[in-house]
This record gives sequence, C-alpha cells and structure tokens, in this order.
Amino acid sequence: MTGVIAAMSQLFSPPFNEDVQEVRKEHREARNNRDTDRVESVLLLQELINLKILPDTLNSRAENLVTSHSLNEKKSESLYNDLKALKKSKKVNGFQNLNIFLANMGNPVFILITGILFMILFLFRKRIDWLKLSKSFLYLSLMYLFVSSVYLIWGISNSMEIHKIYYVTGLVFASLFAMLGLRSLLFYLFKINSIEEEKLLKAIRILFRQLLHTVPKKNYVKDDKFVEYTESNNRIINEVAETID
Amino acid sequence: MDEKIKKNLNKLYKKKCLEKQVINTHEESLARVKKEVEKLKEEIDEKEQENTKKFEGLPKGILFQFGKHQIYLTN
Repeated sequence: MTGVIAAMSQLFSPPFNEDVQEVRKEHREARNNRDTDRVESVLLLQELINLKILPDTLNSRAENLVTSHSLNEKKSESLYNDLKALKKSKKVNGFQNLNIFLANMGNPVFILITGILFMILFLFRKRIDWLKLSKSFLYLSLMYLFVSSVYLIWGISNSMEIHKIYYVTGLVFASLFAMLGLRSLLFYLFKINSIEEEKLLKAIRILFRQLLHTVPKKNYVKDDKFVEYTESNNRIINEVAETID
Repeated sequence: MDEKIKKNLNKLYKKKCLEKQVINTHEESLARVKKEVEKLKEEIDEKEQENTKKFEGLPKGILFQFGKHQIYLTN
C-alpha cells in the first residue's frame, strides 16, 4: 500500500506551480516588449540615418549598429531554427532526450519485471517449494535495498547531483545481488518442470526395487520358479529400456 | 551375464530408473540362475551317461513290439 502510494504520489501534486507560471508569463511579456522596443529603436535609428540629420561621427556609429543588428537578427533566427531542429532530432517518444526518457522509463520497467516475476510465482504456486525458493529472496531483497538506497540518497540530498561513488557502489552491489538472486530463482523455477518427471522416475525405481531386489532377497519366489521369475524380469527390463529409449 | 541385459540395466541406471543396489541384486540373481542352469546341465549329462552305461550291454538292432507300440534298440 505504502509502495503504491509512493509510486503514484506524483499524481497528487501539480506538474507546474501556478504562481511560478504567472510570474514566468509576466517575465515573457516584459521580455517581448523589450525586444519590440529594441527593434523599434533600430528602425528609428535607420530613419534618422535616412534623414541625414545626424553628424557624420554619429551617423557612422548608427549605421554600424543597424548593420550589426541586422546581421545578429538573421544569425539569431538561423540559430533558433537549427536549435529547434536539433531539439526535435534528440527527442525520444516525446521526451527531451534519451537521458530523460531512460530516467522516466527505468523504474517502470523495473516494476514491470517485478510484476511479471510475481505472476510467474503465482502460476507455479502449487508446484513451488516455497522454503527452497525463499533462499533467492535474500539476494533479491538486497538488490531492491541497494537500488532504492541510491534513489533515496539522491532524493534526500541537497544536491541534485550526488557523488558518483553512490551510483557505482549501488550499481555494483545491486547487480551482484540481482545476479545471485535471479540465478537462484531461475535455477529453482526451471527445476519445477522436472518435478513431475522426477515423481514418475521415483515410482519406476520403487517398482524395480520390488521386482529385482526385495522379492529375490526375501525369497518370495520358490526355488523351482526362480529361473522363470528372473527371465521374466529380464524381459521387463528389455521392454522398459526400449520404451524409454 | 547376457550383454543385452547388461546394456539395458546400465541404460536404466543412467536414466535414474534403477538404483545401483537393485542392479547388484539382479546380477546376483542372474549368477544364481546361470549356476542352476549349469548344474541342471551337468545332471542331465550325468543321467545320460548313466543311462548309456546302463543300456550299453543290451543287444543292438532288436525291435520290440507291444501292440501298436514299437521300441527299436540301436547303438
């Protein structure tokens, strides 16, 4: 329950703060007005140049400024278009870039795998020897603790960038325990399929033990019938061997 | 021991259908059977020799007839 609430808690807080949005909108308006005024100023300057009322020194500086502004405007427009195209090319499924995409997809994939794992355990629940299987839970638990520790340290620390050593340590230990846990889990799960076969083999062993070992040892067959009995057993051995071949 | 049986016992052991102890007991049984068969063969041979010796003094080439039944003594 706590885990589900923690995983979904993001939904209960707005993605954008309204007051921040308001201030941002005002700032954008102010910036646009400023840019419009700058453009107007340059146009005014151009008109003044055209009227030829400025002294030569000022006229020369004004012309330089207008030319520079024109070049910068073209350059800015071109760079803005390049930037838009570049940003678009870096997008992955609507996310800004691969890093953000992986950051958002990593944990859901992790949870998905856990879900699939629990589903497998549910499907095999009647065949599973839980005591043996639980040996793998120790490693899996340690893996979860290390992975969550890295994220919790990152979330709680004041810095948005935590020291690399935490990532590396968490990754190494989590990978190690994941490997050990999954190895143990898969080893046992694959053995489950052979449990039915093992039961049948055990039944065959019991029958053969009775026929070939217990009956002769306990002298359940009369001496004059022993040869016949042994030959009969030989025929059974041959038939079974041919059947299972 | 019959080679086929030996091979099949090994095969069943490898397939985990048999235990080693069971194979050992069956090998003992086979050895016992072999011994008994040999003993019976010896007894048969002895009996044959005894009979041959017993009847070797009888005249040869004689035909006895008892109604429909005939006994022909040969060498």
